Order: sequence, then C-alpha cells, then structure tokens
Amino acid sequence: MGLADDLKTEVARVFRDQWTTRDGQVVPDTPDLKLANDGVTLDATVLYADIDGSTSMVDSQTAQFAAEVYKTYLLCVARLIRSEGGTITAYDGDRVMAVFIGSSKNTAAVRCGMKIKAAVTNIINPAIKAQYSSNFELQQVVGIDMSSLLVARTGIRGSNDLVWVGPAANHAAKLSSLSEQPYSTFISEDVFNKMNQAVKVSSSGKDMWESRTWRGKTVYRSSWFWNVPN
Amino acid sequence: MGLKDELSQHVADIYKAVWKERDGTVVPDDTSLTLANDAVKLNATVLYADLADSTTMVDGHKKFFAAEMYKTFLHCAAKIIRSENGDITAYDGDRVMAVFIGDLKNSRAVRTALKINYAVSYILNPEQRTFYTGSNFMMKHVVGVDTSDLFVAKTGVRGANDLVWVGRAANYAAKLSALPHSYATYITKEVYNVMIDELKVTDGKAMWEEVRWDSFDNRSIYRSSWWWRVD
Repeated sequence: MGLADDLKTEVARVFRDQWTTRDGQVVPDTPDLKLANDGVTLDATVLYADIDGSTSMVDSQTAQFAAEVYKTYLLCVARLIRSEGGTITAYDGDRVMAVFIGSSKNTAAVRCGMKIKAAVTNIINPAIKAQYSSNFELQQVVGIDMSSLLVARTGIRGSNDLVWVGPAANHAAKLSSLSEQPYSTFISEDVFNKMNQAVKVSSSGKDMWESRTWRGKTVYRSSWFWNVPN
Repeated sequence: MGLKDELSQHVADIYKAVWKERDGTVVPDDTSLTLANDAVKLNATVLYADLADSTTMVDGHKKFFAAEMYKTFLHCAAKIIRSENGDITAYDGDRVMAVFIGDLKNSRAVRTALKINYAVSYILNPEQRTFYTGSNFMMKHVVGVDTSDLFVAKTGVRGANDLVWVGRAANYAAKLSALPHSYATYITKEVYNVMIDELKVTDGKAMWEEVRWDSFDNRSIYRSSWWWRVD
C-alpha cells in the first residue's frame, strides 16, 4: 500500500471511530491513553512560559550564549512549575506548557508565573551580568487560562505525543506571545476571578493586576513577582 | 539548600561552564548529548508545520471534532516528513518541528511542505466532509522552511524531547509557519536558491512568488499554494 492509501485509511479511521472518554483526576501521560479515539477530560489551568524576543536574541548573540539563556530559563521554569504542583506537558524549543489541576490550580499557576518573573529578575539576569558583564537582559512572558480540556494521543512520537484540546490551551499560548514589558504575566478573567486574594493584592495592600481588553475579552496583566523561597 | 539557592547555583554553573562542541552528521536525540554544556553543530533545514486558526477551531467546534483534526493533521505531517527522511524533533500540541540534513535537504523539506498541502487538500478535507456531511469546516495549515547552522544542546526540562535548537532556521521556520494561511508554504530565499528546479517550475509556470516579509524585517521570502502529489 502506498503512502497516500495509508494516510487515507488512517484519516478515515480517526473520523469513523467512536470516542471513549473518562474524567481524569490526574494529568494523563502517554501510556494512560490508547492510540484509538480514547480521551480523558479534565478541568485544568494551563500555563505557557515563553522567551520574549528569542529571534532577535538568536540573531544578535552567539549560539553558545543563546543556548545558555534557553537552558537557564527552561531549568528555572521547570523547577518552579514542579514546586507549585504543576505538570510539564509539552516543550518545543523555547516555550513550555504546563497543566495544573485540583482545588487551588489557578492560584498555584499564577504564583508560579510570578515566581518565574522573580527567577528571571533576581537569578538569571544577575548571573548573566556576573559572567559576561553584558547588558543583555532576558525577558519572558507567561500566559495562563483555565477550561475543560480533552486529552488524546496523536501517535506522532513515541513519547510526549498528547494533544490538549480546549480553549485554555490555545488562549494561554496566545497570551504568552504578548510583548508588553515590563508586564510579564497575562491571565484570563476566569483565572483572575477564581484565584486567591494573596496573589491579587500585595502584602502592602497594592493591587498587583490591571485589566485590559484583548481580542474582545477582558484579561489581566501584572509586572509583579513572587519571591522564590530561600 | 532552598530552591532559590539551588537555582542560583545551577544557573551560574551553566553560564560558567565551557562548551564542548562537535560537528554532527546525524540529527541528535537526547541520548547523544549530556546535560552539561555539550553541543552538536549541524548544517540543517528546519520545517515547521502548523494547523492554522486552531483557536477558532477549538472555540467554534466540539472538542472531539477538533481533536480529530489535530490527530489526522499531525499523523499525515509526521508520515510525510519521515517519507522524505526528515526527523521530527519537537511537537507541542498543534505544530510539528522537523529537521532535514544531508544531500538535498532543502529540496526534501520543500517537497515535504508541498506534500502536506496535498494531504490537507486531497485527503483530510475530503474525508472529513465525507464523514461529517454538511460540515463547512475547511482545515487550513501553513508550513515554514528555513536553513542555517544549528547548535543543539540538552535542556533537562523533561525526560524526553528536551533538546534546544539554537539557530536562525529554528526561529525563522516557526515564524514563517505563523504567516497567513492564504498561502500554504513559505520559504526563505536561502532555501529557494538551492532547491532543485523541479520544485520551482511546473510546465513552465513558476510555483513560487517572491514577496517581502513585511511582518518581520522586509527580507525576500517565497510563498506558494502548489502541492506535490503523495503516491
């Protein structure tokens, strides 16, 4: 059978097959799902963390330096996501996707976004200055939204081949591509309404978020950070 | 040691460490690199294939329908990439990154792009409409292709699939795949200049149009809505 017939058969099978779905209590992993139309539905908060200006960084810096910036950013993002109980669900070069579930998923995701800002400001940029006496400053953006998600396998790679279908996955990715420094955390109105007061108002009583309109929706942005515990 | 100290230590180590580099002749995977500053340099062509308007699709259709669109698009893109000896290097939800190296890497990557266009137009959309009679949904996609030196290192973010690809082609191909879906394929001049004539002209007709990349830096790029038959 040639490639065209092979593709036709597989495509028709995906459209024809009935879905089996179940509600998930944990973030699924590739082995939890079958390759057929098998799905898990979850109420989840999605976080995307993305380097702002990576093309100009790659164009203007050495590959070695740019690779170090990617490595240190991704290291901090991954550790902070795990420290807040999130699961890293995808990673493609310069952006990381994570999923938070459970009763305080919005607060945890937002605190994580604000801790990533702290790591960039207080750990990564000072380390760049210390090593290279360079004026380069890493900038990044985190986008967060919540919704119900359908998780299914795509069969595209051995591992890491899940597809996350739901508005939160798309909107969080789009929010993380906004470039409005020094604002580095963008969240949907649903997330803002559900999150805890501690991540809304600072210890000195200042409002840490401001609303703005984005594609006809209200979203909130912040330039505040949350200290990474010592 | 608290989390902050641990991160500070680790970050400083990465900036301090000296890179060990070697030239690569195969596409590395995460077992061929160590977590320290170890890198492979490659001359490669990068392809990104992106499902266009996925936000609208997810907002406007049932999740199962959208999931089927993702699954079928990604399946066809992956099979076609492999049939042209490309390596799938990253995948994040709705877009696929692939790397081509060796002889005719640019022509193979561009033929992959044109074959993905064929699969969407002549396999995916017809099958989808046959099954969902009355559906007026049309899947749209965009493929971007660029070529450059790449510097590949391990990030340690996840167990698998955690390489970082540093180089112009990785960024430009991703950016090209986010251009308007009125054309299915966008490639840089560097790719166009070296690809075989068969991919440039059919029956005397130019398959590509040179345009300015006005949403970026106005450099010349080429766009096409032609397809290449999948046999």
